[in-house]
Amino acid sequence: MTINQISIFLENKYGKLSEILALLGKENIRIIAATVADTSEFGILRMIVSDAQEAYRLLNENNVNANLTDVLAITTESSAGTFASTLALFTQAGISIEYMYCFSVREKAILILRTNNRESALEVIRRQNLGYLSENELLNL
Amino acid sequence: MLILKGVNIFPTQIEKILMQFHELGNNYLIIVETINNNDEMLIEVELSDLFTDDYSVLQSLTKSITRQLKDELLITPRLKLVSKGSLPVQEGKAVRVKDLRKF
Repeated sequence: MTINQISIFLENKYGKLSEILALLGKENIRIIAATVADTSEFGILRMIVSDAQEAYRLLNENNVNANLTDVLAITTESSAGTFASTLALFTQAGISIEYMYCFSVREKAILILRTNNRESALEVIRRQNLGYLSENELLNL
Repeated sequence: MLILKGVNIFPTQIEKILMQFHELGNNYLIIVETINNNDEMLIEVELSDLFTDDYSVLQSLTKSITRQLKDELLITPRLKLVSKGSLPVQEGKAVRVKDLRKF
C-alpha cells in the first residue's frame, strides 16, 4: 500500500536542481511527481520516480544526499471539495499530514501523503474504503 | 588560530563539536568575512550518509550545532549544511579556514 519516494538534499546553489534532474534523465529514470520544499539555506526535493532504488543508488554514487521514505498514494475524483473531504478523514482520526503533494491524470486526482502515523493512516484508508495506488499501479499510469 | 570580534578561535574547537554529530560528515570549511563592517563566521559542513528528509529534524540539528558552537566559541557562527562531497577535497593538510576579511 505504500510507495517508495526519494528525497534529496538540495543545496541552495545555482544549477543544483538541474544537475540532479539531468543525472536521473541520463540514466532513463522517469519522474512521475516532484515537489521542492525550500528554506533560505537548503531545499528538499521529493520525487516519485520510475525506479526509486536505482535512483537512490545513482545519487549516492554521485555524492548526493538522498533517502527513501514510504508515502501513500490516494486517489480521488478530480472535483471541488473531494480533496478537503478526504483529508478530513485523516484529521478526524487524529492523524497529522507531514507533507503532501498532488497531481492529476485524466479524471483522477492523486494525493501523495506522508503522515505522522503510517499504521493509523492505512487503517483510515481501509475503513473508509479510500482509493489508493500500489507502486506498480502508480508507475504504470 | 584566528581572532574574531576579539575572541581567539582554534579550528580544532569547531571540529570537536562538529564531530559529535553523526549526521555530519568529516569535511567542513570555516569562512570568515566582513559583512556590513562586522566580522562574521560561516561554517559549511557536509552531511553524512545519514540524511533524513524530515525538515524539522534538519532545522533542529542546525540549531543544536549552532548552540553548541556558540557555547564553545562565545560568538554565534552561521551554519550551512551542504551535500556530502561538495566541499573541495584537500591533498595533504586540509585548509579549513578561508579568511576573506577586509582589514
